[in-house]
Amino acid sequence: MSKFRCKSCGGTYSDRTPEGGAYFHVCPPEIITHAVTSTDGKVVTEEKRVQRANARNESPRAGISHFEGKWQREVPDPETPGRLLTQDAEYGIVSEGAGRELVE
Amino acid sequence: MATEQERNRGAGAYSTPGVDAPASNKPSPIITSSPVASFAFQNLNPPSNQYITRDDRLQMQAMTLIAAGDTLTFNVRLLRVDGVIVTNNYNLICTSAGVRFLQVQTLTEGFLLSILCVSQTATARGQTFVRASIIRVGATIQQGALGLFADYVTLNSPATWPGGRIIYPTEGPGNIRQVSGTTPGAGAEVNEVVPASTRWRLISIFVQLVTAVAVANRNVRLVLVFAGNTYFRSVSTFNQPASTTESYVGVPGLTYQTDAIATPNGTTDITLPPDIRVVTGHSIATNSVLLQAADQYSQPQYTVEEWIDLL
Repeated sequence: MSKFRCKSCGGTYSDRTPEGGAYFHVCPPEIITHAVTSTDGKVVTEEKRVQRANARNESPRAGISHFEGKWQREVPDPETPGRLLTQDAEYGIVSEGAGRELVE
Repeated sequence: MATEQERNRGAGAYSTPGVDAPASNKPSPIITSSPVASFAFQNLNPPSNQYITRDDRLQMQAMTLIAAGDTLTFNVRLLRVDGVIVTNNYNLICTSAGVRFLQVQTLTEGFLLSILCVSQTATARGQTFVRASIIRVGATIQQGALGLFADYVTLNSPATWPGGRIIYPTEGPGNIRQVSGTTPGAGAEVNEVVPASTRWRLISIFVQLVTAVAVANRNVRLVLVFAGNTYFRSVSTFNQPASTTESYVGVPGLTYQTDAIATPNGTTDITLPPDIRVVTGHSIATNSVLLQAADQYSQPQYTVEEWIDLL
């Protein structure tokens, strides 16, 4: 099993579990500016949390199907309510973030 | 060994006709009624009510959660109009996990006798879901005409028509699987997200926190989050000091408790909502008070019952 490091959050993971199941890494949504404490444990500077702007999410993009050898997306037909049309699409993950690198 | 007298007793195999006494039990009378029904053995009606026309197609759909993908084999038996039974095999290859694969197959005109689908990879219910149906193709639109089956399949447990079931993927037992999550970077929280097209029943989650030398009491809490909104946060009053290791176990319905065993390290059990089900996009995460920059969470290990939740 290959192990990867996410360049967005620094987390390490394998994209499959030992029993063969798929694993999709998603970065923690927040970047923490950690609190500063004094030597007796009192908080000197409060912790701050901000949303991670460049998160990686390896889940497959929603609404994509592989149909007759092509990746396609179903979209509502503007002319016929309730009817779906298919459009060509590209398979991909939700967001690449800063990418990942092979660790081992 | 039997004596001469014993061998010649009664009317058995060793009896001598005309010398030994006949058997005392009379033979049973034969009681047989003539059948009321009669059957034809020629010019039979087809044994199926599902006639496949030239406008009908077999639609095969599948989704797997196996990382390496799965191949589904559909075996179809048809009675052709000339009386010949033909058997066809179609493979639907799912190369990726968590996305839907579809294939439409033209069938020979005739009566559909049976269809069976098996997986070539899945070993547990909950890994690969298939759906088969007959659709009609017209000039512009494909319309569903008949659902044949919709169920999980494995190597040894096929889905069939007739006799199979049409269920939603979240019905029945799922796949119990143990997931090794992402080891966060130093000073970062654990964040495990339910993948696309998946539903989990969380059974347990285990993670260790190794605290750095920075002096502060850390409190580890488990949170459930969706779309940035926290909808559950556990209570944890255990103060984990600097330079220690503590194991945290999240279990649905468990009462919060912490032990004082220092070897190999202490354990704190954190409660989660009973029978908690989480769907795509929900996060199981830590939310730690006074986490320090060099604190390190281990790789979270969790056990879930997993279903495909969209197909």
